[in-house]
Amino acid sequence: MLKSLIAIRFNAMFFGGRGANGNNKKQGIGKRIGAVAIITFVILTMLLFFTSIAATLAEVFVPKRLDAPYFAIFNILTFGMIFVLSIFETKSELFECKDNELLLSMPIPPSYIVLSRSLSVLLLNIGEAMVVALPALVVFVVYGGSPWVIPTVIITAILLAMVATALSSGVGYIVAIIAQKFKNNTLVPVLLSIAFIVLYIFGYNAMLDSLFMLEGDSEMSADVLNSTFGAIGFLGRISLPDPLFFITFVVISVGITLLAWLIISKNYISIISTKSEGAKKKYVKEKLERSSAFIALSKKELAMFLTNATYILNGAIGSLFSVIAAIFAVSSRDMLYELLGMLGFASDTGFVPVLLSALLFGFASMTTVSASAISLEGKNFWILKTAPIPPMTLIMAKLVPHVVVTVPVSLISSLILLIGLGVELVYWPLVIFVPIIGCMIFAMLGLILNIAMPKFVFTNSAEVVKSSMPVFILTMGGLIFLMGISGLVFFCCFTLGSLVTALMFAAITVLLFLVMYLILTGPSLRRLSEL
Amino acid sequence: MTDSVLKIESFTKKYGDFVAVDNLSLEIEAGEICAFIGHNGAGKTTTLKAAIGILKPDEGDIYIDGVSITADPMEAKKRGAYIPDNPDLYEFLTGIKYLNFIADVYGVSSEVRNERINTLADKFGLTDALATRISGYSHGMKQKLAIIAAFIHSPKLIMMDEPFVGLDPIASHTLKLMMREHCEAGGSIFFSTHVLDVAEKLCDRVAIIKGGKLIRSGSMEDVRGDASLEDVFLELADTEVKEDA
Repeated sequence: MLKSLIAIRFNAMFFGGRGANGNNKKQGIGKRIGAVAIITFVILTMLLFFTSIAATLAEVFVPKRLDAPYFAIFNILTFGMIFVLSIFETKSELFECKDNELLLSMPIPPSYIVLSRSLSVLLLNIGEAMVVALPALVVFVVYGGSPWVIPTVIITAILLAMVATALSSGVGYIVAIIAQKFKNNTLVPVLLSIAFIVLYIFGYNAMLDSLFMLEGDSEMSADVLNSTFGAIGFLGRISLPDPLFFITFVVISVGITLLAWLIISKNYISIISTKSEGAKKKYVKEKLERSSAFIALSKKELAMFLTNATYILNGAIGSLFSVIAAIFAVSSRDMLYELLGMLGFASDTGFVPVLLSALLFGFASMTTVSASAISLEGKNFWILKTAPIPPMTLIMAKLVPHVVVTVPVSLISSLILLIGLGVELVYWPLVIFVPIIGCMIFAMLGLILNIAMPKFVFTNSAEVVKSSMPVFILTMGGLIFLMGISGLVFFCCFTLGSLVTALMFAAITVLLFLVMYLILTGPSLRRLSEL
Repeated sequence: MTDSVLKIESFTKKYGDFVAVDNLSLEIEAGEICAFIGHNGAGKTTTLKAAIGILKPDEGDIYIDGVSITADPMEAKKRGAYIPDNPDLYEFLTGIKYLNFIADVYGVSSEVRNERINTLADKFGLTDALATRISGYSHGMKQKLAIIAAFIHSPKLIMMDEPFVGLDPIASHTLKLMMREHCEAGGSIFFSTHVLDVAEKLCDRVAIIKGGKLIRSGSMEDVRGDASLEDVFLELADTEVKEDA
C-alpha cells in the first residue's frame, strides 16, 4: 500500500500530466532527451557555482585545518536554503493535495499518506542538499582535506534535508493556522517567508564576515576556532568523522523527523479539514461595473497570483533578491569602489552603471511567475477555451502579474543603486530601462516556455510553481544568465570600453525583447490556440 | 451559412487510432431542446467540447447560429455557452467576482449583468453565498454558479454536459423552467444526460449516440413512437450489442 502511494506521488511530481483535456500524449524521445540535457546542464552549472564558492572558502580554511567552520558554512547554507524555500511548499504538498478526500475515504492510515508525500518532497530536498554538499566535499578533498569526511558529509547532507523538511512542514503548518485568523490569509505566510529569507541572507553574510575576521586573527589557533563556535561549530563538526558529534546529530535529526511525522499523522484529518474562519460572508448586492476582457482577465490573473502563497513565494521571491543586492551594494559602497580601483576601473565612470544594468537584468530572470501562468489554469482551462477571448488578449493578461511584480521592484532597485552609489545622471536611463526591458523579456520567456510545456494535471499547485519544467529552466537558466551576462559585461568593458559596451548591451536588450515578442506572438500564440 | 442554431456536419474526432466520434451530423433549430443520450464513453462529451471549441474536429465542421467554430471561433463562442459535467471554476474568486468576470469576457453591459445576476442568483438561492470564495462552495453550488454564468450573456445556444448532476430537486426544477424559457425566447439547448425521464419530458428532440456513431435522432415523438424513451434506448443498445456479437 505504502509503495503504491509513494509511486503515485512520485509520478505526480515528476511525470505529471500535460494535456488540458485528457490529451496526455507521451513525450517523444527527442523531447525527453532535450529535457534530460537541460536538467543535466543546469545541475552542472549549479555545481560549478557552488564549487567556486567552496574554492574561495577552502583556500582560506582548509590549509589552516579549519574544517569545522568550513563545513558549518555549507551545512547552514544547505539547511537554510531548504528550510526557507520550502516552508509553505511542504505544507501545501502535505495538506493541500486534491486527492486528500479520496485517500482518506480508503482504508489507508494517515501516517502512510504523510510519509508518501514527505518522501517525494524529501527526495527533491536531498537533491538540493547534494548540489551544495558535493562541491564542498570535492573541493575540500582537493585542497588537502581528509577523505575520511566523505561518508559523514554525504549522510549529514541527507539528514539536514530531512530535518529541514520536517521543520518546514511543522513551521509552515503553524504559520498557516495563524494566517487563518486574518482576513487575507495569503499575506501572512508571504511576509513571514520574506522575513525568513532576509534574515537568512543577512545572517549568512554576518556569519561569513565573523568567520573571516576570526580567521584573520593570528592569535586564534585552529583548535580554538574549531571548538569555540558553539552552534556553528557543532553544525560543522557533524560533517566530520567525529563519532560523538555525528551520532548526536543522527539521533537529533531522526528524532525530530519522527516526532514531526507522528504529530502530523496524528492530527492529519483535523489539519486538512480546518477551514478558514472568515471563509463565509453574506453577499450584499452591489452595482457591478463593466470592464474590458483584458482588464477582467488581468484582474483574474492577479487574483490567482495574490491568493496563492506558494505561487508568490516560488514565483516572485526572486525579485526580492535584486532589492537586497542593491541595499548590500550601497552599504558596501567603499569596498566596491576600492575593488573597482584594483581592477583598473577607478577612472571609468561608465563601468559601474553598465555593470549595474547587467546585474539587474540578470536578477530579473529570477522571477518565474509567468512560467506557470498557463499550467495553473489546470482543470479551469475550459473557461478560457469556451469564452470568446482572442489568444493575444489572453497572452497579454498572462504577463500582467509577472510585470506588475518585477517592474516596480526593478525600478526600486535601480533607484537605490543610482542614488546610493552616486551614478551620473547621464547613465540613469541605462540602469533604469535596461532592467525593466529585461523584466519583460523574462516574463515573455517564462510564458513561451509554459505554453511549450504546460502541465495541466496536478494534485497541488506546488508541483507546477516549483518543480515544473518551465520554472526549472527559467530559474536555473536565469542563474546561468546572471553569471554569464555579468562576465560578458566585465570582459567587454575591459576590451571595448564602457561606452561601447553600454551601447552594445542596450542594443542586445532591445533585440532580445523583439525576438521574444516575435516568438510569443508567433509560434507560441499558435500553440496556445491548440492547447 | 445555415438557419440552424447548432449544425454539426460530418464531425469526426480521433484520439490516436481510437475514433471517439465518427462522422456525426446533427441539427438543432431555434427554440428546441435536444437531449444527447448514450452510454458512458459513447462520445457525448467529445461532441459537446468540439461544438464549443475546446476540441478541434479532425473532420467536418460545427456551426453555432451559422458561424463555424473552426473558421471564426470568437464569433461562434459569443453565440454559445457551455456547462461542463464537472464545474471546475476559479476557486480563488468569490462567486460574484466570477460572474462579473464572465460578464466582462462576453461584453455584457453593466445594467444587463446586474439585472441578470441578481435574478438568476435569487432563482437558485445563491445570492447570499456570492461573496464567498468558490473554494468554499459545495458541488451543487458550483454547478448553480456555472449555470448562472452560462445564462448571463443570453447565448443563442447553451450546451450542457450532465447539467442535473449535483443539483438539489428545487434547483433541478428551476433549471428545467429556465431551459424552457430560454427556448421560448428563441434560444436552443443541447445537453447530454443519462436521466431518460427528464429528457423525455423536457425535450423536443433527441439524439442517441453509441460507439461514436449517431444511431438515431429526430423529434421526441418520432424517435420513441408509442414506447418510452427508455425502451427505445434499451432496444437500440441491445440491437447494437447483438450486431456487435
